[in-house]
Amino acid sequence: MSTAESDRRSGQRAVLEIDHLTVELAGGRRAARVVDDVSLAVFPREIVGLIGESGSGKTMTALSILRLLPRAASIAGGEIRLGGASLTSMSEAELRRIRGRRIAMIPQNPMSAMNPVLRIGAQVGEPYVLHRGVRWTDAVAQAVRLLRDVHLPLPEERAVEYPHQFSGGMQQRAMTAMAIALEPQLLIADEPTTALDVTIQAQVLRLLLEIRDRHGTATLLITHDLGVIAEMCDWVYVMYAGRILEQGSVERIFARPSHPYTQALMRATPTVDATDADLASIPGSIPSPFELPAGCRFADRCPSRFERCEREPLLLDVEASHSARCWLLEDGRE
Amino acid sequence: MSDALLQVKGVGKTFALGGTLWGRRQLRALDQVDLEIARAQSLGIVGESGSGKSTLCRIVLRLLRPSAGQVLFEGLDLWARSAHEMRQLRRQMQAVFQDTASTFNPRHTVRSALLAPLEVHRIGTARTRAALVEEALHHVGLDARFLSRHPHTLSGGQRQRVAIARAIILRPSLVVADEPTSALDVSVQAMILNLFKTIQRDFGLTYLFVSHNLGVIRYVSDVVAVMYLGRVVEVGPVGRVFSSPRHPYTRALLEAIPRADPSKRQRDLPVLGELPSAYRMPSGCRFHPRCPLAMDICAQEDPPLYPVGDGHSAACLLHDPRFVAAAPAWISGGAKPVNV
Repeated sequence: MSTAESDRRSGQRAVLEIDHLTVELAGGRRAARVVDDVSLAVFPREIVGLIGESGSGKTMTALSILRLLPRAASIAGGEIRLGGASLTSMSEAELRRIRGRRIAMIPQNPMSAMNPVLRIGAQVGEPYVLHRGVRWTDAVAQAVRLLRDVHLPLPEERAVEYPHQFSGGMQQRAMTAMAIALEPQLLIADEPTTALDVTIQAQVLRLLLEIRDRHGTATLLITHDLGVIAEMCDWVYVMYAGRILEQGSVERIFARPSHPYTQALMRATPTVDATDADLASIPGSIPSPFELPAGCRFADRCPSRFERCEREPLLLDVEASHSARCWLLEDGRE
Repeated sequence: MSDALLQVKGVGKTFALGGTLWGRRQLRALDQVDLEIARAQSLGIVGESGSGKSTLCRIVLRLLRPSAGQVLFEGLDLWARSAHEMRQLRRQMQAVFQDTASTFNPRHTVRSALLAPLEVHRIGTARTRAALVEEALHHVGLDARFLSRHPHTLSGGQRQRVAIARAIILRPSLVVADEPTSALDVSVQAMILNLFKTIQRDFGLTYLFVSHNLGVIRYVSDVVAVMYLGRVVEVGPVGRVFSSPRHPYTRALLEAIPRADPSKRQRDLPVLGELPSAYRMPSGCRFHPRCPLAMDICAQEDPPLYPVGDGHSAACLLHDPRFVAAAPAWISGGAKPVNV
């Protein structure tokens, strides 16, 4: 554990702890490491961002928490704990009592996560029936209350409608209502606004902040959007090719991005406040999980690589609450 | 008169969908759209779902007939051309789309995908075509090793490069790009955007560039048009529109974008309600049900585009002399509104 991480941990108990998680994907003769030795933590009331591009392993990390990995993938090492209890060694029956009740997920595409032939009220209220044995009529009444909490206009009328009658933003708010039904300790939001228009995205993001303020929910927010991270998060993990390359408080990461990959990502993102500076693209592409380099995962695309990069760097401290997996940080080289 | 390559004049498009006993439901996708693009310039179109961006692209490419208005290419109406003239014209107008996985025939190699337009337009001999294909690939940063590859063996970024090569191989004057980077990762997107800029400079291309991403539009456009429910609500030089928006919708869009700077968090944004359905278009100004500045008149009067100076105009009644006294300073151009 780096000192950056221990600063943050002082005195608090994490809601979620992932220790040295490795996830492998079976493929032909070899196994691919899609998540490699990932450790992260989410503390109460925190919104923690996990940012990465396609193939970074961020979604596999999220699915591991709920043990909902696709069949070809499996947890090959490490431990995941919720409030100290190991999720990785739980039975399926125990997990079912956790999912939805203590950990809930908001998916990227609400339409495919909903049952198209079930009324919204029944879907949103279903957790009460499954986990609390509440009668359906009471569950639907609870659903209406939840729909009001997520600012859905006319919740009584909307509750009897079907998912296809909802816009994307309304569907995402209904999914969020379902997710917070049982007041989970941990909310996992996997690209919750990627499919939404920006004005609607702003509403859903604000809703997540409201939920945190009202219930003290800890949130793991997975996104590829630096703006969403800057707007929402307290702490950030930058993921690339299965590894965490940089981590720290959101202020430190944006003030002083220290891994060349994080820096490149920031320079590659077009902004509306742009000057005439050219966007810097990152040459090459993310390595295949079947052919991971022995050294630094980013080395072959990195403008600052040197001999040492043939060995994999450790997470090194940049400053308090901030570390990065890059040899440039060793001995004050930079 | 102007050196506009493309002019869109009063274009409207209504789709009739699902008839019932009481009549047909109509969806007005575009309404009275006026735009023009000067040669070798980029017109960026931004807007959210249902704003009519893609319908506009299809009309400009003559893939869809407008219900009203005209599209003039080099001053001549696209729909007044004969089939023969149109065939000539097709060489001049090419397109790049978002979903590169479906824009290629999966059984074709990169070579055959790039040869096809040359064959259709009977350009060159077998030998000169091969040279043109290699040259086009070279322009997009790929080499001859890619010629025998199939589209599904390429990465998203490589496929988009091939799509761009196919678009420029006929040396068009206009390229219509509809969300060309929306499916790509940020690092690849930057590469493709830079490629669009390079080939524009090299070939003097004119772009109609559509994106829902305002950062992308800011980067590639000279002029931007902001669309909302089938209308252009604001248009002007991109720097002016983005630094000093003069329509409440443009301002709301700009403010809703999360900035990559934690010190500029905006937690007190006005919440805009739901986007109305295009089947039930609001009366008066289309934005009035969501507008924080709406006045009673906005539910009745449909605002035209009011010029606000320097080629910049905005369709908001607060620019009308009758109501200008009620306008906040940023609307009338007195103050910079966006917190940047």
